[in-house]
Amino acid sequence: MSGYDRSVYPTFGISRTLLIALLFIGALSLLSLYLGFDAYLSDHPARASLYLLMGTSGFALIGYMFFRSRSTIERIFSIPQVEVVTTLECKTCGLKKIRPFRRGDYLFKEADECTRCKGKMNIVKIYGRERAKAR
Amino acid sequence: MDVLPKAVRMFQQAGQLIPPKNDLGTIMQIIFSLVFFIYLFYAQRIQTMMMLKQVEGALLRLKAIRDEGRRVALKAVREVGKPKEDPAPRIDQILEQFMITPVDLDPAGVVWKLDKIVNVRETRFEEDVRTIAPEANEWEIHNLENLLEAAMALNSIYKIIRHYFILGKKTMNLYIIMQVQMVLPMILQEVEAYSSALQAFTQGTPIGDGAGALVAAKIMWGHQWRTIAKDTVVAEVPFEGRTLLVVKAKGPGGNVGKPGDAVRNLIEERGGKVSKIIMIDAAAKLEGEELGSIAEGVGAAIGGLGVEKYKIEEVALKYNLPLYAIAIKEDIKDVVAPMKEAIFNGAEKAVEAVKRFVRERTAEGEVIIVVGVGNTVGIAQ
Ligand SMILES: [Zn+2]
Repeated sequence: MSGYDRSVYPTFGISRTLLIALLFIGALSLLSLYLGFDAYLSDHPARASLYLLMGTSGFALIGYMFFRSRSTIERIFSIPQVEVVTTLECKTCGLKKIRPFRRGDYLFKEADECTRCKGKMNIVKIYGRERAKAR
Repeated sequence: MDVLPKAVRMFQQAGQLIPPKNDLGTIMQIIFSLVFFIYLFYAQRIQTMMMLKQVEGALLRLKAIRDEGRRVALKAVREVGKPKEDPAPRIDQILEQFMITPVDLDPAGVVWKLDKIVNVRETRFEEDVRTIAPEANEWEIHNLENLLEAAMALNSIYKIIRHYFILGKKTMNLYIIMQVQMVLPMILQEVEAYSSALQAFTQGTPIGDGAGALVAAKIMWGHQWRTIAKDTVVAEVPFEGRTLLVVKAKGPGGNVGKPGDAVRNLIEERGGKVSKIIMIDAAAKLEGEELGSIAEGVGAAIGGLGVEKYKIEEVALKYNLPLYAIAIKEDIKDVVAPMKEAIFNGAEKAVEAVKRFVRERTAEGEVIIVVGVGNTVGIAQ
């Protein structure tokens, strides 16, 4: 199975065919730009702008392709991890405590000892926090 | 077919766009026209290739997540179960397990057949997990089961998408590829949900689906409970002169229990002397609805294959009991992810809604069954 997998996914990032195509388009675009400047200098503004347009759109296409294949790779390994927090409350004195979730925690469990009155603390709330987004 | 003369005309027009000035200009004109021609005849093929590329990108991502699922499951089994031999081959075998649903050509009685098959599958799955994780305690076994189930789902989604990708690549058929490409956003959303389930079930945190179970747990906390059906518990809670029979799956392991059997057993135990059934469950919210908001309605609020829903509807019909429902709204991606605070608060609102319902719509002395539906991972009672 793994052998077949490899033949099915030759592309990790940019494949050779795509690279050749990009190089070809790049060369064409460069040529267009050259012709455009040439025409501009020899007083053919209409032709010049057409060539320049072709050249710049070629480069834009290359940029777009690069951007796209990069973003695909970046998205692959983003498996969401949520920050989970546990809230505890003391039965006797009502002291509240929030700490990161630990494996083995569950709702209503008598978990930690109260720091104020040495009583038992119950887990009253467990929830995943949305990771704060950069604004 | 007037495609060809049209094409020739367009070719001429395209040629006129760049009147040749020198040799380089001529070359450019030829290349330009050539590109134009290629696009004219191969546009669909190019489109097909672009779509294939998109599907391939998604497939790569799916594969990474599938592999992560297997890795996480394997690690959890090793840590929690402390097996003597390497569990990897057994886990690979479990990931490929399947279930064949009964024939429904003659649908009468098909639910009981499905129930039987589901039970066999559950028992077998539990045995398998016990074998690979001999040291795990009861609720850790349930969490491992759920974890493996998430890994199984990821594996099968990956394999189905791979199937269509390879088929599309072989045939270069636009419509085969289009089918996958169109459903990809939804599939990726589902996969994202399952991948967050990996975290929830390895650590044993409550999940969004557990909102219903949480409501039941909050009502029954501090009262004596007993087992009423497989993996399902009930507590008798006196409330303002009424008696609430609160049902939930047995926590804190990952479990949905058998609410259908529980409700039937409870009603039969009391000889039908029950006045109402209230069910609380997490429900898929529509885009634009608020996360954790609650809604009230009627009917059996329970998802899954439909077996438990059928049992509850049958017994409600037999004893002529009204079914009321309270839904806690959440997104598909929240269902198996660690429970968000908004959903937790939604469950608190639902507890109040249950109390208000009982006060307003029942008389003193009545017996009401309250069923908290959902996976009770991380929620005790
Ligand atoms: Zn205290």
